[in-house]
Amino acid sequence: MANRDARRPFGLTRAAPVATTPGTWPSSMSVDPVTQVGVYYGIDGGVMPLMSSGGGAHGTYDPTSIPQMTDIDGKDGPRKVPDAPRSDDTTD
Amino acid sequence: MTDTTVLVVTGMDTTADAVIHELYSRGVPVARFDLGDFPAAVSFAAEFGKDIAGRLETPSRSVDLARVRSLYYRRPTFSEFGDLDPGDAQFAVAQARFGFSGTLQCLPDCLYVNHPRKIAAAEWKPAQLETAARLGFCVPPTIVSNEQNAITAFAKTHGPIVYKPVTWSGYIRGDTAYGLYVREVDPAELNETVTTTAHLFQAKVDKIADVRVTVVGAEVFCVRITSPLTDWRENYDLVESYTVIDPPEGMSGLLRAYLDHWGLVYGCFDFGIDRHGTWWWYECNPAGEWGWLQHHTGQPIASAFADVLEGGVT
Repeated sequence: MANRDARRPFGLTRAAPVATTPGTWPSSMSVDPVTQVGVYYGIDGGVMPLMSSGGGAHGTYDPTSIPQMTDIDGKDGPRKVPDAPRSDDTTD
Repeated sequence: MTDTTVLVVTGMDTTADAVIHELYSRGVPVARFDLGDFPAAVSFAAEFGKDIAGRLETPSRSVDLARVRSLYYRRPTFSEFGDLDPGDAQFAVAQARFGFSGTLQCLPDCLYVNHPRKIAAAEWKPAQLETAARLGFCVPPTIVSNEQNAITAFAKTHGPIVYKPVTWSGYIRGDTAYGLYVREVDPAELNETVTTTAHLFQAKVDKIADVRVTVVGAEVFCVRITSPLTDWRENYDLVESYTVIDPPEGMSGLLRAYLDHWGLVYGCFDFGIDRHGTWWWYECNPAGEWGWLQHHTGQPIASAFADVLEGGVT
């Protein structure tokens, strides 16, 4: 193992723990069957990190700022809506 | 056109949500799913003849694969088949990749934002550097090598230098996830560990600010990011300002030429601005994040995505 550590690529000696931001990842997500917008569960404090390709997070974002319709005509669960999402049974 | 669907291929992603909401508000049909949803929650059948015929079934949508106007490929996850034996799972993963994802890559008359194969081609840093320099961007002197002598000589000629990974592959040590942020390298630090694999070193730009440019179709969104750090991503709490700016003369044409070279509809470019006002090209991420910039600046980036996805192939 000592030899392995000595052979660790130079680039990895520059590694630092990824930037952390307040908030937590959601524990799960479902897709609103009408709008197709994500509905997130288990987000502490209402904010979640935005992903970056570098392994960190680009700050936080409040997903509740995106209008969601999670209670459609009082029906639970996803429904098949053939192609066109704006059918007559939406609530807007 | 009005009855054709926009596919959004993503998982948990609030940035994609902003685009989907914009499309929904315009009455554009959208079907959202993740490649990783296949086959547990998503199924498909495609017949290949002169034309593709078939359907994609998600928990809430049934989509005619011949009538997809555009596809937003937004960092999907992939099926893992964890319920199968490892050998069986390896086979199933490959079949899903080439069968399901492969079918989605050849839909007729579909605008891809961006096409996954074009994303893959555009992610190679050496090719990015070559293309950017050839098109006329100001690219800092750069070396990619595993030869200690060559790297040391480069540092003498072009120092101060920084190290950047050639690509990001994720790095976890123990229970901690690490990032490789751009930092200056003291030439005295260079040792035989540079010979272990390929390394990229670049002349350090004496920057006064960074710029993130998000190009979506014909729209160009520039944000000047001021941070005391060499790499502002290392600590977002130290970012002093996000300021909307205009690109310098001729820059928009260069950006579009770069994307056209790779066949990309959008891309996220990173630049450093020096005290003379020169924009130094760092990289272009063909699947870059932009949601936080819209959040901070109010730039209508989601709307620009909706414009190109709604418009489809023109």
